[in-house]
Amino acid sequence: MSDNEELDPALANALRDIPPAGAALRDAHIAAALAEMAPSRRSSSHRMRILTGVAAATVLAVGGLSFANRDSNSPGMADGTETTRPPKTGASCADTFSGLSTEAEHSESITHQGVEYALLFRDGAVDVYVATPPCTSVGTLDYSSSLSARANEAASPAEQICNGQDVVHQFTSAGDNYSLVAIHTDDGISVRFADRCGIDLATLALP
Amino acid sequence: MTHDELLVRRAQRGDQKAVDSLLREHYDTVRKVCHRIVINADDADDATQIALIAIVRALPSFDGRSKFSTWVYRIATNAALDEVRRIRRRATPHDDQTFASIPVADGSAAVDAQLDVSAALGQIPEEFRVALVLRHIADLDYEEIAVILDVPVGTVRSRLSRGRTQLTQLLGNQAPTDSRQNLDTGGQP
Repeated sequence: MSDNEELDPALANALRDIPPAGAALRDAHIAAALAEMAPSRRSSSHRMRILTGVAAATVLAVGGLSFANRDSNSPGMADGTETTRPPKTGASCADTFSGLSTEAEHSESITHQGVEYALLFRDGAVDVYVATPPCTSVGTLDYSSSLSARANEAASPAEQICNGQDVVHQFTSAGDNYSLVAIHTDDGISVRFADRCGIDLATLALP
Repeated sequence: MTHDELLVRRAQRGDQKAVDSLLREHYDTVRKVCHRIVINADDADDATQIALIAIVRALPSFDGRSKFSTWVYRIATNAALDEVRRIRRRATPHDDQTFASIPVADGSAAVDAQLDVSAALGQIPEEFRVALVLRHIADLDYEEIAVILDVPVGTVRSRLSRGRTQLTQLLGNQAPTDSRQNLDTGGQP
């Protein structure tokens, strides 16, 4: 579409005529942005590997863990604002989880009201555990129906990117790539597609 | 596959050099978008930084359904608009003319022209300003702008038309700044 003639060319040029950033400013901006890569790389590189939980000592064996006592209770909750990455502190749950098997692909950890939780991502759901002993199961965020609905939708709604939110899980389903973010709410967490930030896929109240 | 698409694929696999290349390739336009929406240079550079960080964080979620550049400028626009809202929140009642108070310099013609454009843009309603920036700086078409702003194409057309008219009126006459501020800056498309 060419309609530049509707705006005086001199005016259009003036609009674009912004003094370039100095090399130092540009490099500083880019360096700061690149520093954000580490969490994302970690998120995608933990699939099917030993999971690092909330502490260096918290190691959850993945390739064959299975967690019983899942709770599909997913009460609604207020819209949230931020996702935080937890401090790397806390005691180990390795003994509790060791030997159990699951189809979990990936784990992340979050801190909510001072309590650290482990999020174990599997196909269409996220199992949530308190990340410190006694490593209690809190419940499951089940987004499988939302995933199916999205795969079958005729037209995509306008995207609303979750700006500033770290992607906590990436996966492929039926040939399509998806990314999830975990949004903190006042009393729990909400899982959303990273490109549809206005829609809760599943919510879970945390103790 | 375009150069951008190749870089994006590498970047999504965690290739830092690819991310660096993508950021450098789009840096100038991202910064221009932020500067023309935010107006104040320091705040605009803050918005630029926030936009770049948001791009890196969201890169894994880019699914290729839009052009990468469109996706980037959407993030830059949102970062700039967030910065504008932050400025408004911190502004006192006496700062209502924040965007219209760009000083008019008596230096070089280029600097004067630069300040004139900034001052004029600052007096144009935000929704018109954003449409102008996306069309004439990011070089997006109406459909792309409509997707970014989540409004119908007709609304984009209307906002651009009104924005162009106001910008031309503001810069086309040589009236002093005070009288320029009498221009109608309100209204919806």
